[in-house]
Amino acid sequence: MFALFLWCAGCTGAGGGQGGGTAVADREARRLFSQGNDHYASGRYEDAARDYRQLLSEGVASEAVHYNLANALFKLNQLGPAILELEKAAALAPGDPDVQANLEFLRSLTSDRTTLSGARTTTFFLERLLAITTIDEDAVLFTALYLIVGLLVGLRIAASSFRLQRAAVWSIAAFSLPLALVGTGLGVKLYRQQTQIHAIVLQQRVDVLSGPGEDNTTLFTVHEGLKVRIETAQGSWSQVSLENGLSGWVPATVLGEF
Amino acid sequence: MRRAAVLLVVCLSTPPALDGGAPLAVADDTTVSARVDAARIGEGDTLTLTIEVRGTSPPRIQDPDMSSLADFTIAAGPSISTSTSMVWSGGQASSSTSKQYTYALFPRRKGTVTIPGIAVMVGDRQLRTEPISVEVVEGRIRKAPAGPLRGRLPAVGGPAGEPEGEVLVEAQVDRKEVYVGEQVLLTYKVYSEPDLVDVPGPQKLPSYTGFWVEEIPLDPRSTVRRVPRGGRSYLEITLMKKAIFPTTSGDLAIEETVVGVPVKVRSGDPFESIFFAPVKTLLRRTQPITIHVKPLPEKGRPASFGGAVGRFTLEVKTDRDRTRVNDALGLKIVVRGTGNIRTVGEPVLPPLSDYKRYDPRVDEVKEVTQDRVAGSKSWDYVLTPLAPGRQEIPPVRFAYFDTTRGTYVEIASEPIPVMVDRGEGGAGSPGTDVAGREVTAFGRDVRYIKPVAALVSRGTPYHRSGLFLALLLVPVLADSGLYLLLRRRVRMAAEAGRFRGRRAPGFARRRLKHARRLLAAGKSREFHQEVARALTGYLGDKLNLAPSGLTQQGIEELLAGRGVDEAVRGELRGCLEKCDYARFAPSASGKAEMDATLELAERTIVGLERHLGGRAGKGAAA
Repeated sequence: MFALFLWCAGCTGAGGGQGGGTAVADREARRLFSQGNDHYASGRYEDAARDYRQLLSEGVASEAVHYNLANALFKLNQLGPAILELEKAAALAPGDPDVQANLEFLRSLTSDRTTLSGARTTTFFLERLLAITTIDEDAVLFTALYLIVGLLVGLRIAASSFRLQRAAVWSIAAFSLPLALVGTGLGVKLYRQQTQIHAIVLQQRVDVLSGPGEDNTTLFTVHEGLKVRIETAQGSWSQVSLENGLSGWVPATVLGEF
Repeated sequence: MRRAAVLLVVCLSTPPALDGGAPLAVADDTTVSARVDAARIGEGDTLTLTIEVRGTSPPRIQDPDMSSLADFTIAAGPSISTSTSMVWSGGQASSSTSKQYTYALFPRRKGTVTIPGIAVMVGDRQLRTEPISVEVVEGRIRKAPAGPLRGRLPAVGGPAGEPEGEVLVEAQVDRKEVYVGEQVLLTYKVYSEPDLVDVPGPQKLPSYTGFWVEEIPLDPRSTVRRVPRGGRSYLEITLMKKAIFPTTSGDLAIEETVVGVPVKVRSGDPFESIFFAPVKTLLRRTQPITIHVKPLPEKGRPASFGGAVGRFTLEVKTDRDRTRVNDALGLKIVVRGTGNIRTVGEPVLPPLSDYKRYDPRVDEVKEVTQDRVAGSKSWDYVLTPLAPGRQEIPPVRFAYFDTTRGTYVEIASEPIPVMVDRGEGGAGSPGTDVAGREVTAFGRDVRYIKPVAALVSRGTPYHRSGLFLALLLVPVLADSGLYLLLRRRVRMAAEAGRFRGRRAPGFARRRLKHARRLLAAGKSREFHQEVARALTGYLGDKLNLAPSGLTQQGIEELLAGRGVDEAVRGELRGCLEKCDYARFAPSASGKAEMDATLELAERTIVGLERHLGGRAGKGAAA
């Protein structure tokens, strides 16, 4: 019965995940996309990029558009913008193997490497654990567990015999533990999604300064394509931090947020 | 020989500070002085600078620091001599030691030129000479360098004669504007009117900063010849030839070179001619040369360009055109031509996916033809075919920069067809001849774009959709609904009981009224039945139970449980018993008896109502 329930919940979750995904983009969007692909195929990458960008500006949110735009930008030798578009595609479809493969390839062409600070510590382990599932998968799993617990609570309320009541209470306890774990993970991810903004360095070479202003000391230099986290913004300057813990200020114009 | 010379100097040594000398006294009588042999020289003349350290017993003396000498080039030196002299005065003997450093200097500019104070470390103290000013005029005003120069110079001291005629040294380049990597031929020549006694040798060679230098061997037949020059006859000696290749762009300077030219001098003294060879080494220097080096153009640079500048040919060949799987196949690529062969990079070998390739053996042959550096470079690859069939070696590309045309030239070899047979024992059965191998990628690119079919517009993700929130609300609503529903049902049942209990006294009173009418009619049995019904009906309503299910025992227990006191219970019991008895008694009861029963019943109900009244029906549903 639980399995059936899980399956049901999974189905509804998956259906919700696509949330209007089956709502086919209108004919004009398809025509523009197809035109962009034709331009790409014949090597007119600038025209292709223009078409894809127009699609995006019209509000078509599809990883396919971001992905193809990233390809066109890469062919135009714009590594930073290409990585930015791939990150956007990955945010929409984290499991897409093409997106992941290209992202990995383009990252290998960048010149900066950062190591997660405190590797092999508990935090690192927890981060790895969190990275196993995507936020949507977490939400689906959470929904399923939550519905099961809800069903069991109902059973406890409606049960007339003491034995059935006791069985219901024990089952609630058993399902509450995974529910709490998944819920914590989901909560952390939702919080981060709300509070953390990431960005890609778009310029070939950017000096990271100790404060917002040209007259500050240069702390280190980053290069095109590096992923950074935006901590705060002040005027036209952003404070960014790297995965390895380094932090400093750069002009906001050199970054592409996603 | 050298010792003899030193001895001679000791004998002939004259007191120091002849001209321009400036002794400098220091604490322990050690002095440092500098002097020159002329106060006025020509631009092409050499000046002899002598630095002398003199003292009774000077500690360790380090060589003078000549780095501050900006306006002169050291043409030769230092030659070092040491002498000790004994002086008798007042019957006391005192000895003093003198160490002399002698340099030959070429002025670098005209005008009044200053030799700055030169620092000499004596022990742990630094002593400094006085600066000396020298006037430098155009041309050459001294007939021969004066003063003794020993050590590296072949000249000897003593009064010397003058050489007959002029001696010149020249550095010549074949072009002054070249591309990076293009050869410049640098030739050093000596022009001399007097006869030479020995081969002139360069005193100091420049460092050729920014150039790659290759020595060009001289043809011994053409190194010495006689040439006319300005109406006079000169002996032209080619000293050396160098092929220099600029490695960076910009204006590169070839610094001056000092050459010592040993010439015959005339000497009027026959005695001297016996003891001293009539030879004088004249120091001459070349003019510095600036070469303008142009960078290789960025435009039109082929991907296969690996740094080759000059003119080259490409030859690609295999050692056989038929081979077997897993056998070796030799592939030789030869680049031949003029230019700096050492900087020729490896030609771009096409990806050979069906061959296993090993690192090549590189051979380099340098040769010089007509003063141009040329040669060949070859790469020997060993290839192992991995699959049978026609395995073509695709064109190999090689690009070079042609300096004469100023453009890049890319050459490609013809594709070479190679027939690969199956290995031994593998006839007809595929798979046995090819050792199984993993398919590996040798090219890297992004994965191709997504087709139109992949264009699905994504709505809000599930975790942000309304469905997620709705699903979270479902159990809360369903469970609380279920709870409320069950509670309402219980409450409704209780409500029904309470309602019945509230009506109980009314019903009972109506029954008793009916019983009174039966009493008046004298119907004893019906009267008692009605009284019993009134009592049980009342209890049933009050306790929310069916009256038929009430037994005497059950009633007792229920009432006791609800705190009805014994007196009321006794009255009830008595009344019910009386009614039962009268109902089944053969004789009718008397009127007074029935009145008493009725009264008892009314009292009982009042008593019960007192106890059960407010709480009737409570807990009846439990």
